[in-house]
Amino acid sequence: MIRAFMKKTSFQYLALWVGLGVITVVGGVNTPEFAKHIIPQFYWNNQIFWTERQLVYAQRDMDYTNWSVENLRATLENPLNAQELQLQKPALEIAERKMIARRQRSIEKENLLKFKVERLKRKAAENMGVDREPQHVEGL
Amino acid sequence: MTPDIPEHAAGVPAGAPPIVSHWYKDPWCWAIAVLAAFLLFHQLGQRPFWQDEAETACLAKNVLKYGVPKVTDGVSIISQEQGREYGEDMIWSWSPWMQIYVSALGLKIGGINTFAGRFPFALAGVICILLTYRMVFVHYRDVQWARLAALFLALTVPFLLFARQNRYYTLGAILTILSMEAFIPRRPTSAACVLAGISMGLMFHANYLLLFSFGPAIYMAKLMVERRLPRLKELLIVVACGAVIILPGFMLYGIGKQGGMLDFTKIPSNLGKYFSDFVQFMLPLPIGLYLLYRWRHFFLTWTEYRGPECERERFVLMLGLTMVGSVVVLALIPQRFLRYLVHLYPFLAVILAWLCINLWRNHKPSGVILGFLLLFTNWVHIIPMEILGIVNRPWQTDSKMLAYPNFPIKLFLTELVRGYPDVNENIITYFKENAEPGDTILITYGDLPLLFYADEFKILGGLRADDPEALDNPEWLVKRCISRTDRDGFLLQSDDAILNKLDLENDYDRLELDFADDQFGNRADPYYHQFIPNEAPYQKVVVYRRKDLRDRQ
Repeated sequence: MIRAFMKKTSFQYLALWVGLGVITVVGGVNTPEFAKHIIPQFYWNNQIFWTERQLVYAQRDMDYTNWSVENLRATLENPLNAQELQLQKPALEIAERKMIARRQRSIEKENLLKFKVERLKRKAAENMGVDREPQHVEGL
Repeated sequence: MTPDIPEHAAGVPAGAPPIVSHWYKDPWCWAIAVLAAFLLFHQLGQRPFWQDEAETACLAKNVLKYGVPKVTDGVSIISQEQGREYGEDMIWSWSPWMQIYVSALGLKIGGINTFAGRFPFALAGVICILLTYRMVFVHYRDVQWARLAALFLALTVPFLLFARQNRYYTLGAILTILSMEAFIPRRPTSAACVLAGISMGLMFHANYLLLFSFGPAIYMAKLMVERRLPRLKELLIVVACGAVIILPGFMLYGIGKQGGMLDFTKIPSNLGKYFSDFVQFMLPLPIGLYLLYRWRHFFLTWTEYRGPECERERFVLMLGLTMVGSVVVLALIPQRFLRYLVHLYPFLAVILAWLCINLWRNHKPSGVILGFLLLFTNWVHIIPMEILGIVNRPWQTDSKMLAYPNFPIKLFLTELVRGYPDVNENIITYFKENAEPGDTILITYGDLPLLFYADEFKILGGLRADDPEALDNPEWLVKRCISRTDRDGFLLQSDDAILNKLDLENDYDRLELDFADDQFGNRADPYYHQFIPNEAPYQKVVVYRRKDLRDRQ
């Protein structure tokens, strides 16, 4: 039996078992319904961290697009500036329209992520038995 | 996975159950079909159509009325491409008509409702599972492999989600399997070539992207695996049969319109995104890498044939190459969706079943563990991506979706059993209860579900072409949580009107409805499909009612 076992335990079988073992253990631990009980602190912190990071990206995009729209408008209002930069009015208007759309989408993304962060924080507090006053989120 | 242990070369391996004489005489095959039927038909009409499904359903409704897919019933317009989908005759020419007529057939038989619209496509899903079983059984006489392949397909949640849509996905899958009759045997019969030609011709009418990606990919895969060109006669039969069916399509559909949108700068990003879709929801990365390793001599040696000796493995290799080839061709198309790969799920089921069966036959515990992981979890798909730090989770995904390690079939059953408070259903119910027939509603997204279920109102907005009426103070406005842009990156008229043009403060009352404004509703794509609703707090649906309508309440 041992010989048969040794025969089968080729490098590839070993790799297969290690792979299946790692996937089973890590998959089991990371599946949300288990993770909430096995590693609650890590699970919720991780979820909140990544969502807040997305929120920061959305806020940065908001700032950038706001600044861009203002800058484009200023250039449009000051034709001399545009001439210096060799920019045509129609091109500036197109750029402004595109940037307005992008700004609106970043505002909406930020809005939805604010709700998501608060949902996660409420769930985390509930799951870990932490006393936390629910925060109101003002939607668009 | 057993690269150093030869696969059972042919016939039935020791220990396998006796082969039944015909594929349809296997009770397990029918048991799997019953399971699939439950998963596909149960609560099929519970959630209303989302935007894309509703587009098909609205056109199908017009087919019942006019005999052809007209984009208007005289009041509202069906469009999601700012009017590019039709000409002066107001007949739909943006995409093929097969799904529209199949949906119309469902509506004709079952009445104008969600279940009836989706029924033919769900039925096609069950047929797909039977055909997958049959394909493996008839060509390779391996009952275990056939059963497991059918079971894999029946329990693949992305496939189930797409099969429960009022769209062409399962029709494409059926036609893909049928066309394989000409590619599996080394010397296909003329009848098999005719069947393949007809199937590929019809595939064009399901969605021509399927044919454009699958056609070259399967020929290339067969050429690579068999290292010989197809016989001229076989090729001529397939091409002739296909051409007869395809040619009218070139006159009916505006293929050139979409061709004009090709953007080759998007190819690298498309390839990257298809890669993540492919490994997260289809073939897991470790299995893909293992297969590459197993077939390394095939890929690295060109001077002589160093591919698999076994006929079954050559078949699996051909399926794998076809899948990869299809993805490569699809990356040329600017719009990238997992939905364009749904017809390849039967191939995936066959490949995964072959792996598990071989592993089981050589080492049972490993076979059982791998089979369990692939059938009931998505851990093999997600965990390696997570470990490598390349998992793709767009911002809108959450831990109750398929982009996270989960038990997909459990999530799917949870939705089936508990239901889901669908955003489109809530909006439709609200207007049915609060608006009066003839009222005009300007909605930024979700106009087509509203049009299908509540055609007593005049619906404006969505992704259609600019309409001066949108600025004419409609009775109702709905600003959805995400604004949409057109292909030039500008805000669409409906969003622009509500955000910038109409005087909301003076002319409208803002009403927050007490339900979540989900982005899409019952969209099947795994990055968007929510099985379990979010608890509060969430962005509520915001409706604006014209002030002069206050007295109505």
